[in-house]
Amino acid sequence: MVLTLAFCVTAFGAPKANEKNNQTDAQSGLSLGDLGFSQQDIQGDPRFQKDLETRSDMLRIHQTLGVITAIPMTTEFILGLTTAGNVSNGSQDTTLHTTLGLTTVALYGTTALFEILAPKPKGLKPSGNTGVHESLSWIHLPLMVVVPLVGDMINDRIANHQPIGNLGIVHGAMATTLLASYLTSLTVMTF
Amino acid sequence: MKRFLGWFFAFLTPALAFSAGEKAQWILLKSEIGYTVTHPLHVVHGKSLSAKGKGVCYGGHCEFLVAVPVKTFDSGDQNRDFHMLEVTRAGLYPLIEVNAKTAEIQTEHPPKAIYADLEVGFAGKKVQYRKVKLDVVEWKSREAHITGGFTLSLKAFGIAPPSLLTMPVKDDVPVQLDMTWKREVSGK
Repeated sequence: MVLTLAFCVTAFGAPKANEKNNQTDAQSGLSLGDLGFSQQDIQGDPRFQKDLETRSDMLRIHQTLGVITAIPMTTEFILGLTTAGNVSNGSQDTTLHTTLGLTTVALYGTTALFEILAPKPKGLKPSGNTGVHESLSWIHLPLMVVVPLVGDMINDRIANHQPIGNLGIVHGAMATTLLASYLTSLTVMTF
Repeated sequence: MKRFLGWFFAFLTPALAFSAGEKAQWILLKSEIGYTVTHPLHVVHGKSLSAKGKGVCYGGHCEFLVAVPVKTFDSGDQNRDFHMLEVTRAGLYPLIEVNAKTAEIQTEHPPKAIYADLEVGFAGKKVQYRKVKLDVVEWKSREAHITGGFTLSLKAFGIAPPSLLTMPVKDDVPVQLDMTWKREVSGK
């Protein structure tokens, strides 16, 4: 009878023991290692995180300076229209327009540098709105160089009492394109 | 002696039957895990098709483990995705892990919905979500198509909400799950 009881206990105890084993199996079967990820996918990379943080910090400054630059750039455009009117009426004073123009160039350059020097993660390809934002820089970046140079040529002609010719129209058209592409580049990031 | 053998078989046979119970394993065949981030100026949807997962059913309940590399989420703007990697500390914690527990799934009578207790490991923190409803969209003999979702809080994971033009995104980020699981049965 004792033997019978011993058998019963052993027999009924078996499912529990198996259940426990199954749990252990299940727990070990549900480890990340068994899901088939590569070591690279699972392991952290503090250096990559540091680069991402540096990049984000620099792009945040790029963003802030970009918005700030839009203010003198727009003001400069309006001031340019006024200055063009004054010059056509015989004035030779373009100092304020020139000074604000140089300030805009300096701010623009600093803004651009924070993007250019930010760490670029491996495999980064511009896409989406950032892609459009970057494409537009191929329009406003060269114009940011050419427009002040043409402005300088106009200043020289005014100072030497020479006719401006079509340079004023060219300067104005390029400045319009520059401002439009810059503001579009800024706006597109908010969509 | 005959009486003893009678008792012996009477008790041992059910025990053997119990010990030979089925152990069901589930493998994640395909999935789409998406998130929605809301900013005052726009709404962003990101998704990943790279989740991997396994599940085991035993002792009256099922346990599932699903993991997805954070870097596989695509919002359509790679620059934004890299910023997302930064704020979620993906360089240090590259995987999102979801441990799910459910009551045992009765394959003979497929349920219309499954309620799971989730533990989500993300950005170095773990947060639990109780009784998350997952709808069973389709149930074939060995495959189950399941959809569902829950809303995670960025604050709960210690994530500073990213901002654009000084305006931060909403703290609540709805997560959408669309998964197809394959069932494999092994006798144990």
